[in-house]
Amino acid sequence: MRDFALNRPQPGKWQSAALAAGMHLLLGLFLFYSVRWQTSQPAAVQVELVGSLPPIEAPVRPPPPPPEPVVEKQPEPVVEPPPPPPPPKPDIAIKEPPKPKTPPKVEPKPVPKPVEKKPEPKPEPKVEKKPEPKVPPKPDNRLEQELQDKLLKESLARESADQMRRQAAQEADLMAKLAADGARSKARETWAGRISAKVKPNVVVPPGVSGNPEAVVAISLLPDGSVVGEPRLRQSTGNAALDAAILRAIVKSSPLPKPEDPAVFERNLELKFRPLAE
Amino acid sequence: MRTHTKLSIAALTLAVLAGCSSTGPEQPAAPTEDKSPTAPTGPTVSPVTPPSVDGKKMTAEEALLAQLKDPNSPLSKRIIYFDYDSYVIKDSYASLISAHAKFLTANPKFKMLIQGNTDERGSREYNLALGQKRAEAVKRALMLLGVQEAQLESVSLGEEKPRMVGSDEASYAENRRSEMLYSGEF
Amino acid sequence: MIKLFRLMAAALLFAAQLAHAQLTVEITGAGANRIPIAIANFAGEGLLPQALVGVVRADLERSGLFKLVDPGSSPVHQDAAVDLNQWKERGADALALASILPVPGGRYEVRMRLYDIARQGKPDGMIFVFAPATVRETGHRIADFIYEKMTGERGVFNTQIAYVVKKGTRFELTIDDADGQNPRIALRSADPIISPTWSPDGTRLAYVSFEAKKPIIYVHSLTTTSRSVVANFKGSNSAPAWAPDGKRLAVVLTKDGSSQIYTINADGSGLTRVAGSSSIDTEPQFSPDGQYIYFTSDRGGSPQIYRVPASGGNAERITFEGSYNVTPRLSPDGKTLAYVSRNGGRFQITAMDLATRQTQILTDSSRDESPSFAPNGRMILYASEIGGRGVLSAVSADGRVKQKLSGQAGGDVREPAWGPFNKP
Repeated sequence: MRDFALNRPQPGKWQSAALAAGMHLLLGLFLFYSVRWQTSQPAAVQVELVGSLPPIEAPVRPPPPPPEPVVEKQPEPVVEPPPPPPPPKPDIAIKEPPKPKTPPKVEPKPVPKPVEKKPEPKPEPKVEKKPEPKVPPKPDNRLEQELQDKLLKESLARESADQMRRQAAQEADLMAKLAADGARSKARETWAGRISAKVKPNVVVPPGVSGNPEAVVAISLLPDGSVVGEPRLRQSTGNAALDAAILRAIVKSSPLPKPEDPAVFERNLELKFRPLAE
Repeated sequence: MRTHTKLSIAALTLAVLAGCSSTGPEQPAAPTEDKSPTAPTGPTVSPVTPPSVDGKKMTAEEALLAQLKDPNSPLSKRIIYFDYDSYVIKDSYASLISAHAKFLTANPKFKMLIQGNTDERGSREYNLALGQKRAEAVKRALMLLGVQEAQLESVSLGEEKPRMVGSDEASYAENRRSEMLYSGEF
Repeated sequence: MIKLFRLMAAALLFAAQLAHAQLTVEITGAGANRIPIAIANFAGEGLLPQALVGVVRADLERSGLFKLVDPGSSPVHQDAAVDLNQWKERGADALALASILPVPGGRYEVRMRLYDIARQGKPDGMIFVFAPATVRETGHRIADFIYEKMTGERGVFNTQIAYVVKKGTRFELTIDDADGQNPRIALRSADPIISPTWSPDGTRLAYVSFEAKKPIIYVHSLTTTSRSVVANFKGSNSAPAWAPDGKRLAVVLTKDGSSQIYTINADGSGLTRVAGSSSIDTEPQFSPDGQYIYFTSDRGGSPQIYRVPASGGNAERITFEGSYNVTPRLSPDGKTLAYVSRNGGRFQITAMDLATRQTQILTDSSRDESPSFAPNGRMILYASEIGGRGVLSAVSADGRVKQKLSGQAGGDVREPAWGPFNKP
């Protein structure tokens, strides 16, 4: 007897195959990206520790300001603390073996990467212990085990010495940077103070002004300190005569004093006025 | 002095009763003791001719006005003084007010203007009102003793008419006053 | 480890701050209170019968808000090329130039330009035609223009004041320009005159005269020089105050006993009682919007300032500090109340912000009375005493500027009243 089941043509054979392949592909992609998403999760940054340090500004170069915000946004999500503590551990566990070798490459790269190093010092000692029991295959020969232990200890010692050297170098680098920026920021503050001292006495408050009005004016300077073009009122005090008096004071004070360190000079300044405050 | 006053009042009363119906001033003086007062020496000007000393006839009106200026009569005292910021009449003025009240009730045709005054300190308009209070106080006191309201007008001169022009306490005290003026004097 | 951790965090943070690279300069507080201004000698002034630039300079300096910068002795034409930097070097924030030309009809035209260093060479200007008899008035108009451009407030140099002068035993009701010049006498009397007050349109004065041996209220027309009796009721009639519509006055009468407040039409008809009490109610003043009548009353035991709705209602007490607060006067914008307070025996001008009820004593003397606001609300004119003689003084509403007005020679000046803005 002929088996109808066998002879019957199967419609959509290719479609179902394609569908099956597509689903496999999707699953593959899903697995791939889910793992990637998990691996890119950052460690925590404790910002409150930094509060005591002085505000530090990198040296100003006219072109950089626009691209910098772009650069900065990348590490921002990196900075966010991860909600579950457990995930980092397995991640680090996975990464652990290659990690001790990659840090030297990581350092010269921009800031974000060092963050990832932070949790590492902590779990590192813990995690490092893990390979200890794992790495040596259970040797039957006790001597072999002892040798391997010794080798391991030596390599670990070398690693931590390297690490400490690297750390010291980094610290020195950062300290130098901090000192330089500290000096520069102080020079900036001094310059701002001298500008304020010259402009303030030229502000003549018109009658009938009360409260604590505030104005913000943007100005552009030439290297000799003179105000070029008209001062631009960014925020008004709400009183036209007082605004005029403030603009008059700026024009009258031109040329503004120059900073002692020419590197501190900035072309565009913002002046914030509170003429009735003490 | 009191006897003098009593007799004068008696004489006057008789004179008035004798001529009460008429409006004319011409009335013979009472035949009784005519203790006419000496020539008046009041500070204010008066159109009435001073009566002669001994026994000459004078009009009743003239006699009355003369009495008002008789320095021996309490009626010649016209000023009541007040304390700072106050319009309360002190007890010491009770008899003075009483005397004037008696005169006015006895002579309803006589009118009185009471002028209230203040010292110069403070707002002029507020002092005008304060002076008014001082005049009002005297007016009310007289009315309580029977004087008709129609006979009295109280006004204020505020600080505008001081008796003494100084900026010391003595001058101020002299200016815080009510003055009583009779018809013919204002 | 922790140290490294910290440094890493620091590194991160100052990288984050790279976005705020711009230097912000904070400038707190201000300098002088007077705008330095140079007013160059006017070109063509020799044509005029009187000096013009002197009037402008004196007005601006007297206001206490300007400081005159030496402009040099040469006249400068109003359309001359100007090197603003040079004037800036001399310390001027503004420069005024003017030229005078004759025009047909025996009159003159003044063209004025005002440069402001903040406006980089784009000046303001005015042109005005005037008769030779009004040189001083023209100077006041120029000063008003400059004042308004530089301070944002309307100027009052072209206004009048009224006051009473006592010369011996005689009294004169006098009107002159705000700078004390050009006096005209409206009334001469052997008896006191008090409480002069300007109608809102500046054409009439109401005042109290004692010429009939008692206080009576008159309204005196300055245009026709005729006058009429507004209130002569039994008792005292005083303290006239115009309603903002110029048709009615608030007055104080004692016809019913003690001093009480009424309103009455300017022709003497339509008497209406406003508030009733058994105490002293006096010195009524309409608020500029006509909603309230402020007044002095001792209903609480001591003279204090109250207000009552102009249409009637309950009185609300306004002053609570001290035992003597009298003579309420409202600023033209209705926000400030000036009055006389007695502090330790000294009578001083005090200002109260009606929104916050905060008070400030404005004067430092001891015999101050009759405060009167300028029509721009900036200055308060008042009567004071120096060396036993009455003089007029002025103080700014914030107490910053003080002025002594040159007193009338040989007279005791009192009862000042500042007139309204003149018609342009």
